[in-house]
Amino acid sequence: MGPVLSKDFLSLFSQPRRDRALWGLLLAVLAWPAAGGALDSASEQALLKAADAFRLSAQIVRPGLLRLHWSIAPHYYLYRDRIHVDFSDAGIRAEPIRLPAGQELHDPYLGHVEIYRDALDASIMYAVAGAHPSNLRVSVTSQGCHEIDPKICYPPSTQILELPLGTVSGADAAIVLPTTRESGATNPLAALQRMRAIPRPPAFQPVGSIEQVQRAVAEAAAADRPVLLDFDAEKCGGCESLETQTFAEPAVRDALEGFVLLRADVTADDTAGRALLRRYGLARPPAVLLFGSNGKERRDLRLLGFEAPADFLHRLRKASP
Amino acid sequence: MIDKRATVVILVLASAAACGGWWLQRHLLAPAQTPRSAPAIEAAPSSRPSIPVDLVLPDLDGRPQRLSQWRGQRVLLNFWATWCAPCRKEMPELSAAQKKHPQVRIVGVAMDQPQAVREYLKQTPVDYSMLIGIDASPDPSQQFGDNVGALPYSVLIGVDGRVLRSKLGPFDTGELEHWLGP
Repeated sequence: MGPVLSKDFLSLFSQPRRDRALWGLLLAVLAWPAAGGALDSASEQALLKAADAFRLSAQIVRPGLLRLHWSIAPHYYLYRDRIHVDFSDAGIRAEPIRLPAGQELHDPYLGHVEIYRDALDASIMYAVAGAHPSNLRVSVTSQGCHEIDPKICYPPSTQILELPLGTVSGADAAIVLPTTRESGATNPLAALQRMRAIPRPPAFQPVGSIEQVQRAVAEAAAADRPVLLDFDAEKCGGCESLETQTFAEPAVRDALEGFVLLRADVTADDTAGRALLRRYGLARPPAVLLFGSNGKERRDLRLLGFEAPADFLHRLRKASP
Repeated sequence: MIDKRATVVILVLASAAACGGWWLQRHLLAPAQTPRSAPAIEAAPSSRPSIPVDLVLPDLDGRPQRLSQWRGQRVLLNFWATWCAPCRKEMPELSAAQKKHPQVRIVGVAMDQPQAVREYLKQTPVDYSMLIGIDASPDPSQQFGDNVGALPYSVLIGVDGRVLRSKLGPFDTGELEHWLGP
């Protein structure tokens, strides 16, 4: 059977086009139910586990300020009033979590609820009293649903985050510890699989003057590399979001691999910083300038303000096709 | 060069395969999807327990109930919670199905606090059995293959105690009827 079949199969390719087309039709028709089956199994994979639908990361922005970020998968949402944060260490005094207003949703079964889609940023002020623990241990509970068919909801899920205290960025070794059903039993293996490092923004080369920027851009052009010049400052709202959400996103970090990354910190508001802003016609940060590998700025790709990772990726791809 | 007769044979084979493929798709590969609008999420067969699973869970009065007491009839387990809107939406449908199919035992398993469940059912009674699964360890919905850990999750258990079907997400129109029918 085998050899006969394969001989027939091989002979397909030596036949006139009309006959080959007929055989092709037969093969396509035979393959069709199989393809349908593959589609079905693809849809079975579609629903995410809570930890993947609502990806939580945390960062100590500065001592006393903890920032939580949820990256919410498309078609999923989190309930605003189901978010709870608890510091297990008795030496930590924390204020209630600060959550932005959510989107209004009228649910015929739950009434009016406030929800978050796409992303959520929240912050918590805390103080360390007494003995200084080496880590800040915080458990974060959230709950949400998948809002298109099949509509499902997740039980409250708690993630335990451990962030090293003492490093200002706090982003170096932060680990998300196991996710558990709040009430149910834990599967330690599944919990281990879900452990992952917090996204970390890439390292930038500081530049402080027009000359430094020009030199760095020229060097990059000589090495045939594009440049990203980021204008940054403390107490600049968009800058921080750009840093912790956009630059830290793994896909963005990957896309930035080929770029020379420059950062002009204009917090000091000194002559050199003002000159640099003026040179590029900028009023204030945040601003992200992209230079092609020819050393010329792509004015059309300038970003003034914050941009979410997906759109920013799009912009990067245009700068470095 | 294939002659005319071969061409006819190929065309006949192609149409037969098309019909066969369509039939397979409709009856074997997608048994519970009469309307194909929403994707039915059936747990992969490998995640279903192959041996009968027995559980003892408390009912609303706290009395322990053993699942195997209903061995010999088909049992539909419906895992739900009061905070789960899609679960609440399909509960009246389950009540109606229990009346229509008395030979099948429908058992709600609430993954929720007993007090919240009792209060909810006082307002919105159901016409099928109810157990509380929240305090059980290991998690009963996971034991029955709910790998995503979300609700609603339904499992149809055969007369021999083996799992016949399972589904994450609410039933599509007509799907419950398809499960419980003869």
